[in-house]
Amino acid sequence: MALNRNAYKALEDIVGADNISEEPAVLDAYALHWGLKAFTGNPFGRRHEAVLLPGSTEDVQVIVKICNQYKVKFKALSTGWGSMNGPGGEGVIQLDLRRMNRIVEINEKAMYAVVEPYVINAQLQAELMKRGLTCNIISAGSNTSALPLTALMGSGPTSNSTSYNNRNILGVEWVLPNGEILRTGSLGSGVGWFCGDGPGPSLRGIMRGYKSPLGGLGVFTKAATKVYHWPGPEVVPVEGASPGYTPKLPDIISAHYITFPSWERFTEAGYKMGESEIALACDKLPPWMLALNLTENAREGIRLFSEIRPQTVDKGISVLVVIGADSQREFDYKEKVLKRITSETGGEYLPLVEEPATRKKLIWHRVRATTGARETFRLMLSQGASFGSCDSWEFAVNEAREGARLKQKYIEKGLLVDDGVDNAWGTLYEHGHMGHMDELYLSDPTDPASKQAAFTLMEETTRACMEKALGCPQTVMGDRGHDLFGPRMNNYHLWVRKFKKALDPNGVSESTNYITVPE
Amino acid sequence: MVLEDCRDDLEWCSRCSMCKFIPMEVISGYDFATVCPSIARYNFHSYSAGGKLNMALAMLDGRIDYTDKLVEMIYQCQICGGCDVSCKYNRDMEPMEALYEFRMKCVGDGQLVPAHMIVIDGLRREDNMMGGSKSQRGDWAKGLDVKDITAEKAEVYFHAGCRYCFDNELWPAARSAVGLLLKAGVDVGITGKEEVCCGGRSYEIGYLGEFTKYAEHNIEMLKVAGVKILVTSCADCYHAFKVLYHKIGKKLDLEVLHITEYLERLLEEGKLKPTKKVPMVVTYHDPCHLGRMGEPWIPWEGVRTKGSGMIFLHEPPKEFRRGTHGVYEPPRNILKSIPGLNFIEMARIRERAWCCGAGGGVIDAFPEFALWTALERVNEARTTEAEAIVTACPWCKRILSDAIKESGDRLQIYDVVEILEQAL
Ligand SMILES: Cc1cc2nc3c(=O)[nH]c(=O)nc-3n(C[C@H](O)[C@H](O)[C@H](O)COP(=O)(O)OP(=O)(O)OC[C@H]3O[C@@H](n4cnc5c(N)ncnc54)[C@H](O)[C@@H]3O)c2cc1C
Repeated sequence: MALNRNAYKALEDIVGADNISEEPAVLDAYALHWGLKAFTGNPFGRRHEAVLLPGSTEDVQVIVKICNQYKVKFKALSTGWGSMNGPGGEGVIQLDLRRMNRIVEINEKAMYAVVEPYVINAQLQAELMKRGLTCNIISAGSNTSALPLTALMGSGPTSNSTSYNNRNILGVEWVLPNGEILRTGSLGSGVGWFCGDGPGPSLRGIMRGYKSPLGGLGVFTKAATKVYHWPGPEVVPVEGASPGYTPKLPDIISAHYITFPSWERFTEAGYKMGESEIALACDKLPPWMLALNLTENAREGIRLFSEIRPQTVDKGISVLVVIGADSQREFDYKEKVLKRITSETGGEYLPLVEEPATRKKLIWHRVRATTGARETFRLMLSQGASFGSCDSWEFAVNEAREGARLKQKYIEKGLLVDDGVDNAWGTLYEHGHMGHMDELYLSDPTDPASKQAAFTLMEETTRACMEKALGCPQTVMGDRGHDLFGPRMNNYHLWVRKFKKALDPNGVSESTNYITVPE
Repeated sequence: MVLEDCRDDLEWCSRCSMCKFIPMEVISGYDFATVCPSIARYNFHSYSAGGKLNMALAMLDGRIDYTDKLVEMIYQCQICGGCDVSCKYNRDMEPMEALYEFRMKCVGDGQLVPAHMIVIDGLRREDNMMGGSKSQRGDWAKGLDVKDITAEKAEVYFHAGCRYCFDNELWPAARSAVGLLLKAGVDVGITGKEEVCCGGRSYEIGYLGEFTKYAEHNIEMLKVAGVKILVTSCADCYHAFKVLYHKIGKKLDLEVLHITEYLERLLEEGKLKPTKKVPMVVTYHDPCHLGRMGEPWIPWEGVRTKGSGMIFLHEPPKEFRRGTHGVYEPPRNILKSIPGLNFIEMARIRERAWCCGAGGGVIDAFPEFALWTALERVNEARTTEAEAIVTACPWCKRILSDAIKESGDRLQIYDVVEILEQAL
């Protein structure tokens, strides 16, 4: 279905001929997605009718109004790594926001940064570090949007000290699906970006609950995100050439990779680390990912994994703890506390990470989040994730535990890749207030039995979430998932539909991956 | 190899957008974080390496057909290799190969860029990429007391390259290069008007046949001349002789050196001694073909196959060229050897350098885009407060000079050899 010519002309008038395209090749570049090949066999999803590159909030607002006028659906994307950017049906245009790429403000005193959607996390963090600050970066990588409203969960390697996206949102400039601009939090009262909840309309839980609305609630054109103290240098000097860079970090930023003998001891250690507030990162980077993180090719990664397996996988559950301090005294104290916690909980430091050069490399890879694609896609694209609900630390650990239990049989049968079984990535949030875990698995997309095992595992994990009250999985997107979980969770789905209807009366903000409202 | 052979990589792109930026580890601020001029200028994802891989797959799958716009998107790219380095920071794949093969497919299918047809026509008739007459190819060296290796033996062959031969403004740098070699007592010769194109640019715009023809010609000529070392001041030619010839199975049976590598050697041996002060603040622009693309070719033949544990690996094990071993230090070491010279780095250097804009046929077909790209680099250089940009390739020097002129800036531009010459 081609776009109505009048609608096209109206849209072209807004962005200019150079910033709109209906070229099939361009549309296919936006239609391909890694997730699709593994699951459907075809890497291409549905094409958008056109792609637009708006340059400002004003552009977006007029585009959205035109969409309402012509009943054309739209879907925004920032960096576009999410598999949720594609249209769920016909008649959808894509708004690629890459021309909206300014850091609007960094407020050191009030500790926030205001960004447009195409500022990537690496850019923002680099600017923040010059001011002794840092931001939360999702573990996918710093190549993703710094806007705290796009990523699925918003959790990352340093979330122990930098929280997660839903909690980091302050003032937001939001083009609603009807074309109105809403300014939330303190921004709504014209007093600046510093607060998400007022004075002014909050709507934080509606705008994005624990998950992003995935394009289904209009377009976020600017947002303030809370930023945090960075104890390291203003610029981390990095020597050498890609991919084997050598970052020069001061010795008072350190890391230990600690393996605990059981899930219970691991949980206990997490709480203790949270309570003592010693860790910049409490990052459950599984041994499989650690091996891929530290190596420069797949083969090396697999070799390193088998090398560290006896000291990690075979011994228990591991976590990467990064300690950062502003003085030697503070550092010594934190190191001492960590040692004490480790010995009280039966943990052991992995010698590999005690080696200074490896340690520094690893710290920088995690703090800057540089290796997401290496830890996941280097071996194959058929990576899947399950669980990931946001709750207490113990709850999160239980998700990982259940994930590993369900996965094990498929690994034993040779249907899923042997990634050490517990390949859950997760983190403490805010020094132990809460936690996140998602269990990852790898299947072989060319092998029907392996593909089937991956599907079945997904079903089993979803069922486990319901039957064992393990929360709403991060993979729940769209009506089917919400209609399944809503009735078990205070009928939240009915409320989400009401909000969607109220904010998007014409149903133009494409929301297949969020929730839809029947006509 | 054909585009179909790249299918694995086309399907393995995870759309992470790393190809648009310098590696995340080395981003040191908001500015100068990007590496791909094509997406930076034109913005649609289809202009990035990832987007081009997506389009190539769509083409193989019969989802799209050629249009003028598609061909334009494929060629509005300098093939500078920045994407390749950034992708391969994390991934074991070869995006650049797909970009080359997509162009070769275009040419094979008769989808030609008019400006390139003119250039290739000129190449076929006059053996150069500049539209000049082959009878004038040797004019740059008039008056130089240097051997002609078509007539007498020499140990070292200096290849000037099409840009130096036919861009009069740049002649002094080529003449300086030969002059420095002679001064150091090197037994060097040239081929004057008998020199022909290295063929590298034709490879980059998809004309494999032309490239092979020139490679064969040069190999034969060098065999007859019996030289031991080939030296060139042109980064594009260096890349062709050293990397591309090897890539198509025609590795030269002699040492290929860029002039900066050879001069560094001569400095180390004490055959050249920079003693005069050159009181100048300079920054260095890494030519893509000398830097990240200049690392040696690593032959590999095999498949990516499912090994034990269901994991897909390259068999036999494949060593990737990730930009790690390009020619980065020699030009820097030369600059650092010059008394009084203050050398400051730009933000994007070595394997993550921003392209000058001239490469991959862009200067011929899309001069406005070439200039835009060069202006970005000039702006970056300006932030270092250097008085001059120093580079090591005539294509870079040409387009950066044009950009400086266009911007009205007072920056100067030199080749490394010109700075060294001042110090001797
Ligand atoms: C390897 C890998 C690891 C991952 N790890 C994590 C992780 O640790 N934590 C985590 O939270 N997520 C993770 N994710 C998921 C991640 O959130 C998405 O991939 C996300 O897309 C990242 O890119 P982005 O933020 O630029 O958003 P995009 O991909 O651009 O968009 C994501 C969604 O938000 C919508 N959207 C984008 N911009 C706007 C806007 N301005 N206004 C309105 N809607 C918009 C889009 O329509 C889309 O539905 C991971 C993904 C991958 C591939």
